[in-house]
Amino acid sequence: MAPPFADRAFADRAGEHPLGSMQDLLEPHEQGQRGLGREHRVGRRTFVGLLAAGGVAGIGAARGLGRLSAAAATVRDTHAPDGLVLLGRAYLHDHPAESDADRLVRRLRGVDPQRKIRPQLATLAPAIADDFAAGRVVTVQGWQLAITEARAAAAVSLGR
Amino acid sequence: MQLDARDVDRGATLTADVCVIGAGAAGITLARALAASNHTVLLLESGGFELDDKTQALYKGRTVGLPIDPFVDLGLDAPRLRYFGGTTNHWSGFCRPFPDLDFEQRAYVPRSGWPIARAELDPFYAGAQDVCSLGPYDYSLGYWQAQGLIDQPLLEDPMTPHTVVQLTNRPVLGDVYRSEIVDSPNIQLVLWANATRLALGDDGNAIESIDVKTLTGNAFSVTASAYVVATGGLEVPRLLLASHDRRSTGIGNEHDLVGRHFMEHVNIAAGPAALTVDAAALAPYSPVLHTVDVNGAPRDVSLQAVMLLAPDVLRREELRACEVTLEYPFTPDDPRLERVYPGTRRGVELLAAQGITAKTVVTARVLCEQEPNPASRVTLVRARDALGMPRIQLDWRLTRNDRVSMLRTMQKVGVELGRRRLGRLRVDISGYTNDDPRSDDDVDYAVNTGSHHMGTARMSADPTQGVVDANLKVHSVANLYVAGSAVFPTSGANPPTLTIVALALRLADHLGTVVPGTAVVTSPPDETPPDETPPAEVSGDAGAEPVEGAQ
Repeated sequence: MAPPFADRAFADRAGEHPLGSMQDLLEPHEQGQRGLGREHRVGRRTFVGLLAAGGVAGIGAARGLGRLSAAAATVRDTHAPDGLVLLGRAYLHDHPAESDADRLVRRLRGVDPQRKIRPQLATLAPAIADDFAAGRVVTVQGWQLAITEARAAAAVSLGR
Repeated sequence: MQLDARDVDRGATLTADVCVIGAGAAGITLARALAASNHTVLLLESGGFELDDKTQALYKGRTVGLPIDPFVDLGLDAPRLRYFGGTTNHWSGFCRPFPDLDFEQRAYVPRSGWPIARAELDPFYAGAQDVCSLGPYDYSLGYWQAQGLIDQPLLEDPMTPHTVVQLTNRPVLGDVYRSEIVDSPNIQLVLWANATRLALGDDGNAIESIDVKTLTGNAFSVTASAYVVATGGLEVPRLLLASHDRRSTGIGNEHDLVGRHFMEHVNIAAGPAALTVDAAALAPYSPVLHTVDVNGAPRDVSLQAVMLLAPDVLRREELRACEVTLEYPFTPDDPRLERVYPGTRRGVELLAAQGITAKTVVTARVLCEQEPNPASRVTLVRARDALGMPRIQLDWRLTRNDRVSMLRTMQKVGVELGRRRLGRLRVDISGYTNDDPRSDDDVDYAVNTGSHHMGTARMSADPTQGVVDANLKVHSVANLYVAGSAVFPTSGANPPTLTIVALALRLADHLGTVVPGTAVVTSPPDETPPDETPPAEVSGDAGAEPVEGAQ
């Protein structure tokens, strides 16, 4: 039986995803569209211009962080793992109506909305198990995820 | 006995009780079984005992639909082998009987349903185990676990039951049975002999003779009481369609079915799974060689567990049959991981954020049934081979339903992994198919296949729905039969060879009841001097009586 890299589905992508940077973790269709892709590559002159136009908050608004309100403090997480953030953003891309941190956090059963979200994700295990058992499953970039963990990733993504 | 077709007198007629065209899995099995029941057999083989380029080139054809070998694009001749032993010469040896559901008529799978039940085939499956040098005829996980030869598979569950695949350690049937066939006084193996035309008699209801040609220019004919075409899912329709001198649409093609419903096994790596178990837990999904006891004799057989979806799940969800394995484990920190399974780190990090450690990343591989599709077909083209036979064109097509079924099947597997806290699966078939095809004609795939060519002379009790009947007799011809995977009405998600052999044994059993055997010698070949009884007779006037009334 042929090794998996003999499959075109994988082999064709081999050159597109060298290990390493966040940019490399992005799917081709994601690169330069949203989030952590090409905006990290903006030139110094452009960056200065952005500051002049509205400062860091403006950049945040461009990413959707402007929707953070009461939950902003609990989801803000500059060290969130890249993969988790990308899954969260992909979920929000498919469900833009949920791009509100307050509502997302409220939907995470078992999470204390007054505390940081990411360290609490382990407490979601019962809710995630319930989701899988009840068929509350969502496809995010092909991953078959419990709706609770998908929303948790989405909440985390809003904080970065 | 063995004969070189190039040395047969030009214009001569060879005669036997049964003529079998093709010495592959089906032909060899038939010849052996018929010889054992006192029948003389002419076994025509296009090639010799080794691969010959000019003979192999007779298989060349054109592909206009989906490529059946998309990743290497070797064409129609590469998946098959045209010499003694046929395609078993590169067979991997995977064996599993078709489960009951595959024989049933399923409302959600158009044109499904076999005219026989699994129970009718069981005795012949048991015989096929011996032909294929396999272990005991038991494919249940419980049996092999009780033998201590296979561990509990990771995903075993009532919703995802497992079965066992047996892999023969002697897959090349040409090697296994060459001596027996060559030494058999009842079998005349004719090498380098190409059947180029099935000639109907004057009444048009029965085959009167077969035209045989060699690449050296020799030509002669064969007569028999019954004829069996056992040349594989691409060559069977070729010969039936090319024999159109008495029936303009070819033989057995009154209802435009010959060559249609071509099926392959869709075989894809459907995505990576980040699992919470060590690679050792996946061991049952890889073949492991064992020596097992078969009636007191040791036999080397490899065993592998494969996951299925429960029949009630398939019915309820209207899914086609599938067979799932978890393959090629990596550790999540393997530097090759992101190249082989792009995007997998996301699932690993998602689990890590929940305090769950992914220990292994694997490929979930799925073998899918495709539904019988009349638009998926083999036809003849104007180009001819070195013998003057028209070459074939394959237009292999899948449907939107096939795509939906394979996607939903893998999504169910992903949900099961999550439900059992075993990990997460990323279902990604985007490398194989376009997204959201609007119609069957819009479906584009680049899938791996099993080199399993099925359905082109499908079996049905209804002459308007099948080329052959339940006895594998061509509906409209009294003495013509088809053996091999061409007769499969549906493909299931099973390796086909065991079923090919079982059907051949069943056909031999049937022919034994309708064709009088004229062989004298019944002793085993090694106890009988080869010259004691003449095998197939070479004469100019031996007649052959049709064995069953035309329908």
